[in-house]
Amino acid sequence: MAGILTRMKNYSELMVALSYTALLYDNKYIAEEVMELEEIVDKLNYEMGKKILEKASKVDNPEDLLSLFHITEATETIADAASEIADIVIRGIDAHPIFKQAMKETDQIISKVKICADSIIIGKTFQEIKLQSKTGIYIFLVKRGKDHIYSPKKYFIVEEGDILYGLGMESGIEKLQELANCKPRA
Amino acid sequence: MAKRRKGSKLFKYKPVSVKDLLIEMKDISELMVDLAYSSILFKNKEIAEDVSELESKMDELNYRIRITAMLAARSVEDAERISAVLHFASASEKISNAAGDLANIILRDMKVHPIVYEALEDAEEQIERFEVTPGSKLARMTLKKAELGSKIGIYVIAVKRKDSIKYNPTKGFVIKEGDILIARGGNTGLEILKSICSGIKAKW
Repeated sequence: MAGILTRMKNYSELMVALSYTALLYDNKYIAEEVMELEEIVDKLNYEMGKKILEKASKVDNPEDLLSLFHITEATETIADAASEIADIVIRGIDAHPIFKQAMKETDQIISKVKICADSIIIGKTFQEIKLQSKTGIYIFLVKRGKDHIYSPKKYFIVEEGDILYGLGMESGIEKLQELANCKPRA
Repeated sequence: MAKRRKGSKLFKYKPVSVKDLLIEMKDISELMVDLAYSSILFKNKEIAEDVSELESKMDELNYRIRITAMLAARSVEDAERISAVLHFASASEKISNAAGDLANIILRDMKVHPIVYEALEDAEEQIERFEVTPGSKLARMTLKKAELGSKIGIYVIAVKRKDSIKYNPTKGFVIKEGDILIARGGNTGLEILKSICSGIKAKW
């Protein structure tokens, strides 16, 4: 039960960060990540609700379980609101002059880069690769299988198949793609 | 579910870059959610109160983004397109209210079930706040010189000074005595930071 709540908390925090990032950089990949996470959180929320009710029938003071409901509900609300923000991006930000104006103020873009076989950075830490100083790209998210690692630290070791989400200038993204040994995707 | 207690605080409209507004809203929302869970884990009313303060700051930013949106509408078409901005403002308000609800658990002395602690303790990193005492070596030091990240694995995510909060302080930020550092990191690192801030530890 604690495990479910931990996951809900982690995902909802990740979703808040990612939804704003998607909005700021008008990025649909990130918005779609948020939507995927929303589905996971919905399921976890349902599981959690069921577990709390099961427990309620076995304890003398069901009132003690109120805080669990309260926290689960707030966590679900946070995740939900984050997905609403992501939804704005998915439906197309171009249409909204206010956001468009904000986008114009930046020349940084978000890019998704997959680490393919034989990439020279496999098995190395971010620190060793000196990614940020060499490419100017800040990696804010790594997707490894089903796991999401938000703002990975410098001792993070890159593995084959990792999907790196980086923020930076276009030229830097190209360099990163070379290092990753994968053809750029549209 | 608890509703926000709304004060009748008046906000003044001032023109501002939408990008800056969005960045600030992003920083505050992330911080609020983090702090809200931490307030529960540490049963810490001060952290919970920080969340409430940030909640009113968010109200102000949401107000500003709504006004900016409305001013941009000059026709029916504009107004239709701008409704997405209002949608955003309401979603971001929802996040901040939910974080406020979490903090209310502590502010209202609600009994917290042990499972909640088990769930929150499980996180790899925690957030805590420490006041920099006059005797601490950190006073008058820049964040760069303090090297908290590389030496003890701690990241200062915000600094509270008097009534203002600085989010994501840069390397050149000079810490002053009386500052409250809101830091994220592993338990060991946080313990070390605690003794550095109190002045017990002079080297790290």
